[in-house]
Amino acid sequence: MKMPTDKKTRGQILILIALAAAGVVYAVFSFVVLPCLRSRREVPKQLEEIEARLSQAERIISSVPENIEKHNAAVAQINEINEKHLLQPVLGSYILEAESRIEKLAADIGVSVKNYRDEGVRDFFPGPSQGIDNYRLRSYTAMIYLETDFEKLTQLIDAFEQSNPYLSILDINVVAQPRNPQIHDIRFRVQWPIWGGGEELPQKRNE
Amino acid sequence: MNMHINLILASEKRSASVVSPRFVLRLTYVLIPVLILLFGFLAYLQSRQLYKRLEWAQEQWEMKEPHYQKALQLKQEVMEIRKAEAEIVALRHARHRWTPMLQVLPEIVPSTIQLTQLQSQESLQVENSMPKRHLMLKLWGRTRGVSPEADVETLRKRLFEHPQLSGIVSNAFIPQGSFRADTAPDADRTHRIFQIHAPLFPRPSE
Repeated sequence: MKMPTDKKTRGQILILIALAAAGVVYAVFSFVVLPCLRSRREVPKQLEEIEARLSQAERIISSVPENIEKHNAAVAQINEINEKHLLQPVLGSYILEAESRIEKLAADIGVSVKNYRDEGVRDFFPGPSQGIDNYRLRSYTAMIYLETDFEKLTQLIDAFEQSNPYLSILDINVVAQPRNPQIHDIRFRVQWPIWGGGEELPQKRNE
Repeated sequence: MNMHINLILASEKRSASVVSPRFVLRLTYVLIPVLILLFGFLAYLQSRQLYKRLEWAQEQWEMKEPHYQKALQLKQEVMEIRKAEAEIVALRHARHRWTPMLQVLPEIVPSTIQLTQLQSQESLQVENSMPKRHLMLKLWGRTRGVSPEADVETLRKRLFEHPQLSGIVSNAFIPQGSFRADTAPDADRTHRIFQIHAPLFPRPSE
C-alpha cells in the first residue's frame, strides 16, 4: 500500500498510526506487562513465607524424639504419683479406701476414730476462670471425728502428713472437754487429690 | 601574515568520519529492540527460576505438613501433660504442715492460759496459674493469772516470733471485742477469755 502523496493527509495518517501504536503499547503494558510484574513481585514474598514455614516445620519435626521423651517422663511421673499417693476408688467409691488408710494410721498411734463423714469428690477450684484450665486433679475429702489428748492428736496428724506428701489436713477443730481437760473433742478434714473428671490417665507414646 | 579563504559554503561541509549520523541512528533502531528483547528474555528466565523454586517449596510443604501437624500436636500434648504434672507437684508444695505448729503450741502457751478451742480455715486460691493455700489459725482460750493482758500478748507475739513458727505464721491479732471478762461460774474478776487469729504465710511461698 502506498502512502498518499498529499503531505497533509500523509501527516494525518502518520499521526493516526502513532496514536494507535501508543494505544497498543499502553494496553500491552496495562493488561499484560504490569500484572505479570506485580505477580512476579509477590513470588519472593510467597517463597520467603513458605521457606520460613518449612524451616519452622523442620525445627518442630526434629524435636519429636525429645518431645516424646519429655511426654513419657511426665506420664511416668504422673502414673507413679497416682499409684503411690492419689486415692484410688474401690468400685467407684473413695470412702472405703480412705477409711482403711485412716484406720491403719490411727491404730498405729493407738487412737480410735469415733466417726467419719464422706464429704465427696470436689473440684479443687471453682472453675476455669481462676486461671487453671483443663485441671485434671480433683479432691476427695473425709471428715474424721475422734476423742484424744493433744499429744496423740499431734502424732496422728504427723502420721498423716508423713504417709503422703500430697494429702492435706484442713480445718482442724479441737475443743477441750470441760469435765476432762486432757481429752479433746476433735474433728478434722483430710483431703486427698484424686485423678478426676472420669479422664483416663495419660499413656506413654512410642512414635 | 596568514590569510584564510573559505572555498566551500558552511552548508556544503562534509564530515570526514566513517561513522555517519545516519548509521548511528539505524544502529540505534536495531540495538534498542534487541536490548529490550534481551532484558525481557533475562527477566523471563529469572521469573521462571523463581516460579520453579516456589513450586518446589510448595511441594516440600505439602509433603511435610502432615508430619508437622503431628509434631505440633505432640508438642501441645507435652505442654498439657507437663502442666498437669506441674500442677500436681505444686499441690504438694502448697500444703500447710500442721505437725510443727502442733508440736510447738504447748511450749508457747503461758502456764496461766488454757486453750479451749483451736480451729483453722483453709482456702485454695489460684495465683499466677498456680494453686496457693491460705490458712487462718484461730485460738480460743481463758486466762487464770493476775495479768491476763500481758499473758495474752505474750502468746500472741510468740505465735509469730517463735523460731519454729516465724516462717509459718505471718501475723497474729486479737479480734476487737474478743478479749473480755470470763463469765464462767469458776472465774474470778481478773479472769478473761480471748481469741487470737493468726494468718499463715500462703503456701507455696514465692
